[in-house]
Amino acid sequence: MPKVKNWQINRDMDYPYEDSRPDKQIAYIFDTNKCIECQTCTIACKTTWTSGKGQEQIFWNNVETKPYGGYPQAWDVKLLDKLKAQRWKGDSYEGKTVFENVPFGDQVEGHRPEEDDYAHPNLGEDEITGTVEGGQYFTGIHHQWMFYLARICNHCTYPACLAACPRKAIYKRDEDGIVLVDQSRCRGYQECVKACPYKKVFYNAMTRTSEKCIGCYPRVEKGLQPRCVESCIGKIRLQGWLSKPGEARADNPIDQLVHIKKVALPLYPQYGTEPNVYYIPPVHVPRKFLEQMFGPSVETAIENYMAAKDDKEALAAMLMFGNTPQIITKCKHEDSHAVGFNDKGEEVVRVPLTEPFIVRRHYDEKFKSFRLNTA
Amino acid sequence: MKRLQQKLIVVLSVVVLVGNAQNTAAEANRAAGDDTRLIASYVDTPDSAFEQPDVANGPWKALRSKKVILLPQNLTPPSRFEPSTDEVNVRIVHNGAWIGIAVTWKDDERNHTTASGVFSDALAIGFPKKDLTATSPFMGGHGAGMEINYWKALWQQDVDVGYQEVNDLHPNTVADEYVGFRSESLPDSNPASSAKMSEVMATPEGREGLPAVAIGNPMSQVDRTSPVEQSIAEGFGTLTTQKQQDARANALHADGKWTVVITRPLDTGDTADVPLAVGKESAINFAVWNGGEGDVSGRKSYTMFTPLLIAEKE
Repeated sequence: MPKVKNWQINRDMDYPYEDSRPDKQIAYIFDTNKCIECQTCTIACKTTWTSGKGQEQIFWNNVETKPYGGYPQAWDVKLLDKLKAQRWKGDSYEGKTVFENVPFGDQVEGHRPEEDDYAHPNLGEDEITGTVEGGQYFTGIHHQWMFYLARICNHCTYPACLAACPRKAIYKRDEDGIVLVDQSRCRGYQECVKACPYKKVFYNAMTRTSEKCIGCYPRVEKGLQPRCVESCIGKIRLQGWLSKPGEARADNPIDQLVHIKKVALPLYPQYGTEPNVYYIPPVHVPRKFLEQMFGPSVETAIENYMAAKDDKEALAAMLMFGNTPQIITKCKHEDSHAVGFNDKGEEVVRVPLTEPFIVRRHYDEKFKSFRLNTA
Repeated sequence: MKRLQQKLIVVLSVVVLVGNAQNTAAEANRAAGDDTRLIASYVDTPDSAFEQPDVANGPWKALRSKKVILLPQNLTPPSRFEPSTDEVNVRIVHNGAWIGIAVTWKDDERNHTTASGVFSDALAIGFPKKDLTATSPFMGGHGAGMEINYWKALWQQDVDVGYQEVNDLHPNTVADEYVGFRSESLPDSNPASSAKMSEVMATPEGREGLPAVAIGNPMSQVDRTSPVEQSIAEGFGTLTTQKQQDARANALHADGKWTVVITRPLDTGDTADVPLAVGKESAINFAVWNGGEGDVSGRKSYTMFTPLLIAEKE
């Protein structure tokens, strides 16, 4: 089996096909600290792409509550269990990836969700890790936690779905790295459903084919960010292009936060697919849990995230989130503003690095009423 | 004792002689004896018996079946370690124009639905385009392809009962509205009947809601009229539905067994098919998928090629 270089686990690994990175790689950054699980992204995606008959259980985008939530149910812990020990030595992964822990008969280690696993899209919603002891509500810090995890297809560099398809009906586009299921070629074997570690390929019982997130490619081709990104009211998302390892550009907001400041981390890098949705980890969650989820660089990522307010380059990149439907390929900071540009070099975003702080009078003379929120 | 044996032989002989067309077939089959070949016996039966195969009463009815052992497909993933079905029993007849192949195997559970992680029982009958020694029984190879006739229990259900979809899987499904479907048709009626489906597919919204149907994927034929698909293959992952469909099929699940009959003209006139001719020897192989055992794609039990003789009229 060919060996390919996976920078996220800092080593070579087995993959059924030769290394072939696309010309451009779609990538996303999700800031978990800002997500309020309003599901606007979920609905934007659902109404745009998967509101047909047979797509009832298909959520190309979902937001689940960690640690107990997951759609389909237990999608991640079932695979974590199969992979056994997942040890890191520094930033190198020493355990097995889904391509290296393959049982007889399969191309990829995976599991096939039961129908019932799709029956409860938001089971575990808002559940915290345990009971908050009496009085802790008022004394400040308590040790229970939860956070929201927004999920879409990771448009992996080494897609497990693609590797598992015996018909080669799944392909990764050279022009943008988007991974697609060829709807004319798929025969509904569901090997991709079993193999995708993120369970983001779904079976449509009506068409009898498997379907997955298409990265809103008709929008991306026009220079527009996907629907889930554009519609996010919390401005937690940014979509752009991730440069190849070693070719990062400081003025590319995705590169700045992923490759340079290392604020945003891949989800379960140990699976080995080199996913391209990068998460800014939640700052309040125990590190051990986060390290299992985002790899060994969590502490650094959170430190850099907390320091970003004083780091104008990182701050400028972060201010590109949710401020334009256009794909930003370049950003910079100018005095007190962050400025973003599209691929034509046109300015599409200009936002202050720090929002002006305005104090209004408690009593509004014009409307003769008191204000509740004065700052 | 000897007298009893003689009586028995006489009685059996009478039974054999009762069916006029079938007796010839039975004799031909018996004549094959320990011959490892599969013999397509001649029956004097009109084409209609093949064009609309009657599983229980067709011309294959009186034939003695021949057992063929199945092996697990474990050459390439996805695969299985042990066969999910151990053997098939095969009866083959022809009338000089059509061939009919009846395949029976044990399967206690009839799996004819599809959903996430739910798979259909299926049978494939393959003919090598070249000599059997030059062709891989695993879907052929480059330049040495196969004609594959693929029957699926799900498709049988589509044809017998109606296109199997969400409401068949989950009868209590309720939805306010689906894109492309008229909301008043839900949830009590089955909006996937071919008439309504054609209405759905006539609208841009309907096509958007069912992309694989709109694009004409053979798996998504909402107006399916045949439970069998003719394909060609030249190796793993190359299975391609033929443009011209010449095969017919019918199936019966009873007493814990599937019996599937696949028929087609001996010479279809289609270059994608393997021409079969009376008096000529060809080859045939079989594959069975047990949906209840998770069989799908390469997870199947298969047979090697067996020589097939299309017997002369006697």
